[in-house]
Amino acid sequence: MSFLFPLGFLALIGIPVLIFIYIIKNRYTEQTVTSTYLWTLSEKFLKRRIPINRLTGILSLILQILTVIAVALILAHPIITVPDSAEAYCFVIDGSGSMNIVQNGETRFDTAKKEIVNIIDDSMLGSSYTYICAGDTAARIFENDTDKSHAASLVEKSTVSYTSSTLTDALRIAQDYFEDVPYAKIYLLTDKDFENVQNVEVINVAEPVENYAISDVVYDLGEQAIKGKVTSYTGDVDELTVEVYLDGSGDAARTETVRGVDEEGKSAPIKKLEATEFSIDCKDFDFADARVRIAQKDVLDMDNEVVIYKLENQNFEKTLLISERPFFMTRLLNAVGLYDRSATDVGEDLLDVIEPSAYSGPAGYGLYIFDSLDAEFINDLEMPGEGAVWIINPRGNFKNSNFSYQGEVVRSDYEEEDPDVQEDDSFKSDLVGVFPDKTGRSSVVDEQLKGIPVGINYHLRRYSKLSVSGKYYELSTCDGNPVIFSGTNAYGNREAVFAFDLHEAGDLVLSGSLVLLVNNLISYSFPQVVNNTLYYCGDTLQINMITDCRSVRIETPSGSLKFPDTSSAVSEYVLDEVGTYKIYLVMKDESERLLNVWSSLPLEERNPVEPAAASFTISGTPSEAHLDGLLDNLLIIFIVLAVIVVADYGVYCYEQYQLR
Amino acid sequence: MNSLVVNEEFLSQVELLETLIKNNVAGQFGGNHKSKTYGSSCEFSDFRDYIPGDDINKIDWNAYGRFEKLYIKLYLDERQVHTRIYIDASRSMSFGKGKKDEQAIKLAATLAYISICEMDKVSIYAIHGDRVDEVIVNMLGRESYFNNIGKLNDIVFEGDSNISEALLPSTVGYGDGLSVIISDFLTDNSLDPAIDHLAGKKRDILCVQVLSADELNPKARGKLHYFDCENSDKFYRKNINREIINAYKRALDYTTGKIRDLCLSREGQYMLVASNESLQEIFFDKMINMGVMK
Repeated sequence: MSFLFPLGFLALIGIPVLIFIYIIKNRYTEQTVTSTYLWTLSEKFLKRRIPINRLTGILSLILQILTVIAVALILAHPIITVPDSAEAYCFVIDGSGSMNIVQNGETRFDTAKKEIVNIIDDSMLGSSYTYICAGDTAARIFENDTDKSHAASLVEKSTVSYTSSTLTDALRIAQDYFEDVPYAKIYLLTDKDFENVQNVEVINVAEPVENYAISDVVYDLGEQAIKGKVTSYTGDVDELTVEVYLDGSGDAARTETVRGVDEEGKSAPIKKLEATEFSIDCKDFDFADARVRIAQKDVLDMDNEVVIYKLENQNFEKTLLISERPFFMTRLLNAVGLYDRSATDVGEDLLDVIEPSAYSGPAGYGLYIFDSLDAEFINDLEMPGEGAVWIINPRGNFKNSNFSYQGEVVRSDYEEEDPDVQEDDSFKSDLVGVFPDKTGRSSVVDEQLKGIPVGINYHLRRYSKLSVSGKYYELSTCDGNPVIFSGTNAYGNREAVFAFDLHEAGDLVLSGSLVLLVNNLISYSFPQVVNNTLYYCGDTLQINMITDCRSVRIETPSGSLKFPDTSSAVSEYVLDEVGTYKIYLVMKDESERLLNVWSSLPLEERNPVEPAAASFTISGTPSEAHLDGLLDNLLIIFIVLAVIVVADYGVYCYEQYQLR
Repeated sequence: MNSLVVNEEFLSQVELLETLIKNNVAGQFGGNHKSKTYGSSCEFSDFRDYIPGDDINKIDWNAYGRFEKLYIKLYLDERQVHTRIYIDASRSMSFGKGKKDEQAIKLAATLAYISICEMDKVSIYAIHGDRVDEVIVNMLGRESYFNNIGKLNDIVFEGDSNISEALLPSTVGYGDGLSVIISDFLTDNSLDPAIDHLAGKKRDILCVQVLSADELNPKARGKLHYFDCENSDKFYRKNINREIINAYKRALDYTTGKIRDLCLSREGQYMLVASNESLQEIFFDKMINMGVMK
């Protein structure tokens, strides 16, 4: 026998204390009386007492001492070692997404955890416990823990993930453990079937349940329709209903009944495990986000819905065009697909077009396009300290821009009033712009902006001669002068400059190259923060760090906040939950931009009864050895203690009765 | 001890009482107690034949007229008795709050007064150890009573007492009255020799046992170490509980019963008196009921 806490015997100090108290308390009070004759005589009239009754005087003390001894024993926690009676348990729990399936009112993961806790509770004291959780990543949560309650509490605290199974990694960890502890009893708790298992006891927590899933949902820009697939995992089903909720609305905007198709092309039930396509027409409505879900209830809700966030709504901001003649610019913006609208739609949401007289200063736009405005007029107003700036056909020095105005270069025979001059080919050799200009500096940005397959020469009637300062990207030149360039102004805004009037650029405005250039400039002005809005759990989300962004805050579907590293150009974050991730970009001016992306449950985790999977084999020969078990059942001590306390109380009551 | 204060009103009440003397009264002087012998009292007793030499004044001439024979009229004799009161003057009588000594002195004074009123002689003694000390001797008449009764205050209660050893060698008289022993009788010493001695001397015997309320019904509980006030070598050490109290009461009953039986077997009287009991109750109730007084 050994003692877990030998210091508990310090409680035995209570025995001399008790004896001291007993002596103090039981001191005889001395009194002088008239005569002791009657008292002495009374001895003869006392009933004869059996010798053991003489102990009654100190019976209470004896019982109290026994109580102290029992308490000391409890504190010292006596342990009896029982050789070869305990085990080294190793639990491998499947923490993949499918373990979220609810059956009998609890998730499979919870069921598995209960199984583990039950095994721990029923195990012999002295056993050791190792816990490997195959969640987002396979990790050994604890190893050779001999504290039952501690091990059970850690098991209880472990959480399921939403990603694909990492049981392969868990197997490797378990294999390493088995090589160190060949007598270990390894349990695998999962909802998957394995063809081959060795040295592992598999506890399959899966039960036949009903589950449907929606997958491969996309918004087809061309057909303006939401497309996707539905799958029944547990059996044939006549039909499934897909509902579409727009922009957070609680009412379904569209409801589509999905049925399968037989070989003859006729309507048929949706077959088990057979993905059935659906398409929902969305021509009649516009949306920023669309929640597409299966109406039928099943055991795994998180694979029943997908939220589509339009990428352009996520990445682009509103643009303000200040122009007296916005025709060409609006057409260019339409042509690049930024605003996929008919001409009449422009300006309704992402593009605002105003007259110069209506501009009174920056007003929260992401891009300001100043078209053919006098510098004096602009300089009298506040320049944007935010977003990007395009200056078209500058006529003077713009405050804090990256160029200085040197004057206007005009073709000598150009007569503005003479419309026929434009038709005369004889002047075309005078002012020839080169686009793109391949002679400039070469950088990633430069190459991106000039990423135009076919270059052209174009003719100008006139342009502003601008002297460029600071860092800029020269995109087009005319007679050696930069006429299209981009850079950063003194405010830090990304700036693009067209040193000519689009209305007088002749063949340039008719070329596809200019459309591509505008497209590139749009990307330059509005760097894409995310490239996609639909992910699977376990995917890595890449966030492009745009210039004005100071920090990034990610709110996960469960509501927790994450702050990814933003020190590099691309910040990465692994999506480990199912649902909408809200990405907040905190800009330099403390304003915030919100982007949403959707993370779906991985396809392989949707099947509630996973068909036979790969093997889970721990190689090696198990040892017959065991750990030494410990017996620390203190129940008997508690019972003895209780009896002693009750007896002591009985003696006390008897003494009080006697002294009446 | 508080000084004895004679309550004259109470004394006037007890004047009406008489002591009942059972034994043949053999006093030397005439008194109020009838003797078994013929004497010169006014109370007729019997006739007998005249014998020459008899006082011719006692011849009943009426009887001679009827029977023509001389008869002498006999009258009962009335004698004066000598009441002897013995007070146990041991320390146990005065120790503590029981005031047994006061009660003993009051009893002695009252009994003495009753005897004085009956024209008897009264002597009061204090028993110290093995001896009898005279406190008041041959007190006769009220004047003498009031002159001497204050001497009771001079009794010093100390030491122990052995009633038998003290009485046996002392003068106790013969057939001439009542012997009263006032004590708590809480002693190992046997009382039998004293009672036998007094009975042998044809004395009427009255034993008055005076006990305090705490002795009659002890209230103490718990672990106690009692020392005897008369002898510190004697002690009693016990956890006083209900069982011991019951044994104590049985011991008390045994002791009082033993003395009572002893007295009754010698045609004496025994009376248990509590130290806090009133004299009215003792004399007008207990003593009359017991036949000690009438």
